[in-house]
Amino acid sequence: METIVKTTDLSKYFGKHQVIKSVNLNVPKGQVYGFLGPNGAGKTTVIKMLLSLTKASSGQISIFDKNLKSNRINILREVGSLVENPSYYGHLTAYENLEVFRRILGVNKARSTEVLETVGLSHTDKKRVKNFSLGMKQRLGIGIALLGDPELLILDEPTNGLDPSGIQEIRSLIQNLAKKENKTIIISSHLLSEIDQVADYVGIISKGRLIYQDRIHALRTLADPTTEFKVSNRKTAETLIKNNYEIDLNQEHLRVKTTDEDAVSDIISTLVKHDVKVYGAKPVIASLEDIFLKIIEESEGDRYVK
Amino acid sequence: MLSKLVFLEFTKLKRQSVWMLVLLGSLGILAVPLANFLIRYDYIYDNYDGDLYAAMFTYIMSLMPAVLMLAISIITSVIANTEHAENTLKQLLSLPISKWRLYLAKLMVTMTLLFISSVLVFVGMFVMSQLLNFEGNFPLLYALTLAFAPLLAALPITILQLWLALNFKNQGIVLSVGVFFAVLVMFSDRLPNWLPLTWPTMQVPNPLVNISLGLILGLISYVITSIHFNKKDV
Repeated sequence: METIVKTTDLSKYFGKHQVIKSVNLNVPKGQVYGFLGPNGAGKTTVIKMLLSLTKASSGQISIFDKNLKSNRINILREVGSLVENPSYYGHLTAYENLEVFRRILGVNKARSTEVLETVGLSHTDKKRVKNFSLGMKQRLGIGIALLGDPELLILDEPTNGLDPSGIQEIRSLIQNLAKKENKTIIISSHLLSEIDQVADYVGIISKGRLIYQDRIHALRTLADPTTEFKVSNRKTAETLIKNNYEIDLNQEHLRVKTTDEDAVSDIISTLVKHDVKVYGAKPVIASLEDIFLKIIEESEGDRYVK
Repeated sequence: MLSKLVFLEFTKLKRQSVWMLVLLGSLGILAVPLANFLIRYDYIYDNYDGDLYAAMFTYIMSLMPAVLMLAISIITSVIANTEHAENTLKQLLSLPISKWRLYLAKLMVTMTLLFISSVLVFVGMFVMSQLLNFEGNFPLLYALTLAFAPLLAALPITILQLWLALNFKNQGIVLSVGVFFAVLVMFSDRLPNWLPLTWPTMQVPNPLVNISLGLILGLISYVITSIHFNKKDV
C-alpha cells in the first residue's frame, strides 16, 4: 500500500531535553490512522513537525513521497489540520472565518458554504465566533481543516467538546472521507473507544518513542485470551483450578487466562464435580484501553513496531 | 499571494477599535495646536512675528515623535494580537503560504495605518491654517516633510515593535517598550544623534539624512527579523 506519511528517525530536542526519539511513522494511504499516547507523550509535537510548524532536530519527514523541507508549500496545499484547540478570528462570523482561509487556499467560493453545511454551522449567520459554544468552535475548526478538500487530514482530538450526535457525525464524516474519497486521516485522541470505532491503523507513542505501529486488528490480539466464569463459591473454585490454569486475580469474577474450548469445559467439569455451581462462562474481549495501558507499561523496546 | 494576504489582514481588522485609534491619534496631535490658537492667538502672533505656520509646526513637532512611538506600539500590538487572541498563527502557518510573506503583509498593513494617520495630520494642518486665516502660502514641502518624514525615519522602530508583538504573546512587552520609547524620545536633544530613537525628531537640518538612515536600517532590521520569524517554532 502506498505510504502517505513516512518519517525516518524523527527527533526533537527542546534545549537539552529530547522529547521525540527516533520516531518512524508510517501512514498508509486511504486509511484512518489513530495516533495514541499518554499525556505529554509527544503526539502534538510530532503533528506540529508534520505540518512544519515546528522544525525537526533531526530525521526526515516525507509526505506524498516528497521531502517536507524542500516541498513545504506543495505538500501543505493538500493537508488540512486541526491542532490542539480550534483557531479562529473571534470577531468575524463563521462564514467570514472560512473565507479568510479559503482565499489563502485559493479554492472556489462555493466551498465555504459547502463546508458550513457539512459541519452543521449553516444557521449561524451573523453570529461572531467568539460567542460560539465549544462544540460549535470545534466544528468550525474541523470545517477549516476540510476547506481545501485535502488529501491528508491531521486532526488532534477532533471530537473534543462535541455532544454524542456531534461525535457520531464526525465519525461518519471521517469514515466517509477515508472509504469513499480515499483520503488519509491521522487522528490523535485520548478517547480509545472512538479510535477503536474508526481507526484502521494505530500508532502508540510514549515518552517520545513510537512503541507500537500496526493494524488495529493486530493490536486487539495482544490482549491475553481470558474466559470469565460466574460461580457460586469463588475461593473454592480458585483453589481447585489454580494448579492447572493461570488465574487473573484482580477481577470481580473468576477469570482464567485461556479461551481454549477443552480447557473451559475441563474447568467447568472440575468445578461441578466439587459442588461449585457454575452459572455461566464467557470469553472476555479486552478493551482497547486495557491493551493500551498494558503496552504503555511494558514499553521497553520497539518490539511491537512494524 | 502578498496582496491577498494584505487584503486578509484588513479583513481581520474589521470591527476593531484600531481604526478609531488612527483617527483619534491624528486628531489628538492637531487638537493641541488648535486649542493653543483658540485660546491665545494674539500671544502666539506676537511671539512668532506673524509666522503662524512656524508656530503650528513647532507645536506639532513637539508632540509628533512621542505620539508616533505610542501609535506604533499600539498598532503593532493590535495587528499581532489578531493572531495571538485565538492562536491562529498555527493554523495560518500550516497553510501553503511563505512565512516571510505573512510577516511582510503585516508590516505593510502597519505602515498603511500609520500612513493614514500621517495623511490625516497633513490634511488637518492645511485645514487648520485655512480656517484660522494664516498669513502667507501654505508651506507645502515643509508640511509634507513634517507629516511623513518621522514615520519613515522611525521604520526600524516600527519593525522592532512588530517583531516583539509577534514574538511575545504577552502584549505588555510591546506596549511597555512603546511607552518607554515615547518618554525617551522627548529627551532626544540630550541623546546622541546616532541613536535610531532620535531619528524621528528630525534634529539634523537635512531631513533626507534621517529618512535615508531610517530606510536603510529599516531594511536591515526587516531582513533580520523576517529570517527569525521564518525559523521560529510555532
